[in-house]
Amino acid sequence: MKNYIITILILFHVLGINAQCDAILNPPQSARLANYKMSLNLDHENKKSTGTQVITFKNHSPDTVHELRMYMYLNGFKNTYSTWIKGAEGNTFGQDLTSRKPEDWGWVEVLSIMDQSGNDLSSGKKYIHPDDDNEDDETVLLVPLQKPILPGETAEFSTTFESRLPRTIARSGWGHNDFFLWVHWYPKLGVWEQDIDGVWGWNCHQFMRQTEFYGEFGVYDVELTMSDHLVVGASGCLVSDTNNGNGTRTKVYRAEDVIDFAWAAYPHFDEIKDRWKHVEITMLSPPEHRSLQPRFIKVLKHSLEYLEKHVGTYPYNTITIMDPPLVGLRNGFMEYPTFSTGGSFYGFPKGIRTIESLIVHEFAHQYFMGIVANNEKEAPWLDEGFVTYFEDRIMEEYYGEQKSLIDLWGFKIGNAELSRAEYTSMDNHREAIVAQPGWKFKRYTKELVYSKTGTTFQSIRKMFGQETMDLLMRTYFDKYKFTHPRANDFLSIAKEVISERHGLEAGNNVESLLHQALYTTAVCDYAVKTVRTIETRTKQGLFGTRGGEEKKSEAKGVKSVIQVERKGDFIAPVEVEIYMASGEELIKKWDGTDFIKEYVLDGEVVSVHIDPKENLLLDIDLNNNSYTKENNKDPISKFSWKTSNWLQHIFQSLSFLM
Amino acid sequence: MERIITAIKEAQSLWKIILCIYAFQFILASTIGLQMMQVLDASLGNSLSLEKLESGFDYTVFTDFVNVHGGSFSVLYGQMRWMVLTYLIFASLISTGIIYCLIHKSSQISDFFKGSLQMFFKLFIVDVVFAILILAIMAISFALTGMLFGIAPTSFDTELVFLRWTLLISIIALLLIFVLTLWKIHIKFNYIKSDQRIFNSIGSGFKSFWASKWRYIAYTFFFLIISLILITMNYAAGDLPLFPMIILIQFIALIKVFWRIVFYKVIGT
Repeated sequence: MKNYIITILILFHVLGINAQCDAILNPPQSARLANYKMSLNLDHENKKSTGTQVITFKNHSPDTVHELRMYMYLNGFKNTYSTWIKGAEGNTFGQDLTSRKPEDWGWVEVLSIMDQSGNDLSSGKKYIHPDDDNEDDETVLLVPLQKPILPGETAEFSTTFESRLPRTIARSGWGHNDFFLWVHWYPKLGVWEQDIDGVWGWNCHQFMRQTEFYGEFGVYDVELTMSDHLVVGASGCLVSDTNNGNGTRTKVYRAEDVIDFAWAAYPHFDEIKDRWKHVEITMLSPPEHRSLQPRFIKVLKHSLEYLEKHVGTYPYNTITIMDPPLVGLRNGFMEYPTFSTGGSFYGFPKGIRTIESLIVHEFAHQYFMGIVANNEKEAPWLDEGFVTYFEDRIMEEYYGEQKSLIDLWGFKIGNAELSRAEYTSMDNHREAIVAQPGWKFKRYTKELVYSKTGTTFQSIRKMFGQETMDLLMRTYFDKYKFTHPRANDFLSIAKEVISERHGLEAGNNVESLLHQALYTTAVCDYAVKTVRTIETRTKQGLFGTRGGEEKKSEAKGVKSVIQVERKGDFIAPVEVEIYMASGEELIKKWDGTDFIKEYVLDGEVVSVHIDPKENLLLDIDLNNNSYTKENNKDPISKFSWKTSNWLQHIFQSLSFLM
Repeated sequence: MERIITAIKEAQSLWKIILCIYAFQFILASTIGLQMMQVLDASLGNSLSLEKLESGFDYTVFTDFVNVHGGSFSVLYGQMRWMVLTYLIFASLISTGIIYCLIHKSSQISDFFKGSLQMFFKLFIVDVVFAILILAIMAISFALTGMLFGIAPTSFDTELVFLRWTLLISIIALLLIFVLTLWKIHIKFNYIKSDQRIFNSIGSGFKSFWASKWRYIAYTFFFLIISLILITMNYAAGDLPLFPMIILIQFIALIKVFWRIVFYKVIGT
C-alpha cells in the first residue's frame, strides 16, 4: 500500500500535476447559460496567442435565437478610431497614442466559427456598432446562425481565434520584461435577456471608456500553454500544472459560476499563498513590492470577513490579487471574477492607505458586478456605488473613522469623508443624474456614480441604522446573486425592507431619497438662516375704558425666533435640535419641504443644529447646518496662528535665495 | 564644532538685530493671519462645526468650508504671492545687513540698516543672479524628474530605477544649490570686507569658498538638518493648546533667525 502511494506521488510529481484547490461549487450557483472551454498557446515574444474555444450556450428564453453577438473588446485597443480610444479624448493615462508602432496595438479576431452541426458560420460574421455607429469600432461581432437556437435548446459553437495584446494602454496589455495581463482576450457572448419592454435580444454594447462589464454566468475551463519562465495567476482554480518538457508548461484552470476569465503572467512575480476560511488567497507581486504583501493580505481578509458578516458568504474557493510591477501599472486598479488587480509603489507609506482602499474596492466588486451581475454599462451605479459604500464601511471598520484613508503626521482623512467630498466638491452638482448609462457621462463619473451613490447609502445607513442597512444589502444579495438585477429591483427591495422595519413613512422617505439622489440633480443644502432674540414685555399700552389707567410693562420676557432654510431643491425630513439657555433641549421634526421654516420659542436659544447626527451626508455644506452664540473660537485662532507661522517659515526658507 | 560654538556666542550678541528681523517677518505674516482669522470667523464663527476642529484637523469641515468660501482663500493666496515677492527684496537687505554686522562686529541696529542700504544695490544684483541660477537648477531637476516619471512605466523595469535616478538628480541639484549659496555668501563677505569691485568679489568669493568646499558643504548639511528638526518641532507644536502653541512656534521662528546668523558666521569667517 505504502509503495502504491509513493508511486502515485512520484507520478504526480513527474507530471507536475498539483491539485491546487477545489474548483467544484456544489451545487451550481448560477444557471450556467454560457460556458467556455478554451485552449490557448501564448507566443510571449510576439505578445500573441492562438486559441480554440467551445462555447455552450443555453437559450433559456421563450424566443428563438437567430444570431450571436460577441464582445471583442480587445479591438478597443486596435487603433485610435475605436470607440474606447475616441471616448478617452486623448486622456489615456498621459500616453501619446499617435506615435505607437503597429506592433503596439492589440486585437482579437475570430478565424473560424462553426455550429455543432458543422456549419461554418464565419462568412456571415461582421462587426456592428449598435451604440454609436462608429464604423471603425470592432468591439461587437455579429454572427448569423444557420440553425437558430430554439427555446430551451442548448447549442455549441467551436471557434478558433487569435489575439494580440497591446502595449498597455489600459486594462489588457503587455509591458517589457514579459509582463502580461490578459483581460477581454477572447470572443465572449453578450447577455441574452429581455429588455425593459420585455423583448428578448442580445445585450451586447460596444466597448466604451467608462464602463465595461456585463456577462452571462457559466463555467470556464481554460488551458493555458506558455513558456515555463512565466509565473501565472488567473481567475478560478488551478486544476493542473504540467511541465511539457519542451520549455513550456500547461496550466489548466476552472472557474465556475463566473461572468469572465482573466489571467496574468510575469517571470518575476513573487507568489505567496494564504487562506481565509474556505478561500485560498494567492498574491502575486513583483519582488520590489514584497514588503507591501502583508498589507494586501490583511486588508483582503478584512474584506472577506466584513462582506461575509454584512452581505453574504463569498461563494468561491479562490481569490487572486495581482499587484502589477511598474511596467503594468496601467493594468491595475481593476476587477475580474476571483481575480483583482491592485496598484502600489515601492516604499508606499503605511499611513496612506490607498493600497488598502483599492483592494477593498476591487474585492467588493466580486460581490457587486461579479456575483450580483448588474449591467455595468447601463447602470454603473449598481455596482460602483455599492462598492464605494462597502469600501467606505470596511475601511472605517478596520482602520477607524476619519483616519481610515490617510493617517500621516497628524493629517487624517477618512475614506467615507473623501467619498462625500468628491461629490460635494464638484463645481457643478447638477452636471448629470447618477442613474444613467456609463457612456453618457462626459465627466464626473467618479464623483457621481461612485461617490454620490456611496454617500447616499451611507446616509441611509445613518438614518436607519447598520442592522437595517445590512438587512437591505443581504436581502438584495440573496435574491439576486448569480442573476442580472436592474435598478428597480434594488429600489423595490430598499423600500420594502425599510418599510417593514421602520414603517411605511420611512419606506416612502427612503424611496424619495433614492429617487432624488439617483434620478435627479437636486442639491441638498439645509442651513440655519437666522437666530434672533427678542425682548418682550408682558403688558404694554392702554387697558380698560377710555381714559383708564395706563399699564406699563411689569415684567420682561425673551423670545427666540429661529429661521431654518432649505437652500437646495433636495427635500428630506430632518431633525432640528435646539438648546435653550435654560438647559432645555428640544428636538423639532421638520419635513424639509418649506424653503423657510420658522420656530418661535419662549426663552433664549444657545444653539440650533439641523440634522445634528449628520445623517444626511448629501448635504453639500454641513458647516451651515448649525448656529451657536457661544462658540469657543480657539480653533479659529489656532488655524490663523498656524497660517501666520507657516508664512514666517516660507519667508525664512526663501531667504536662502537672497 | 568649536567654530559653531564661537558663532553661536557671537550671534547672541546680535539679539537686537535678531528681534528686529523676527518682528519684521512676524508682522508681515500676521497681516495674512489676521485676515484669515476674519474669514474664518465670518464663515464658521457661529457654526457648531468649530467644535470638531478643537481636536485638530477635520477634513469634512475643511472641505465644506473651502467649497463654499474658497473665493476668500483665493484673495488671500493672491496677496500672499505678492508678499513673498516683496519679502525677497527685503531678504536681500537683511542678509547684507547681517553680514555687514558680523564683519564689523557690531550689534547695533543702526549699523545693520546702514550696511544693508549702503551695499544693497550691488549685492541685490548678485542675489538676483544667484536666485535665478538656483531656480534654474530646481526647474531643471523638476523637469528631469517629471520626464523620468513620464517614461518610467514603459522604460524602467521597476520604480526603484526611477527612485534612484530621482535621488541622484536631487543630490546633484542640492549640491549645486549649496555651492551657489555658499559662493554667494563668500562674495558678500569679500565685497563688504574689502570693498573691492563686485566682479573681483565674485572671483575671490569663489576661491575662498572652493578652498574649503567640503567643510563648508558639511556645515551646510548640518545647518539644514537642524533647520529641518526645528520645522518638525514646529509642526508637532500644532497639537498643543492655543497659548503654549503660540509661544513655542514663535520661539522656533525666532530660533530660526538666530540659526541663520550662526550659519553666516560659520560660513563667512
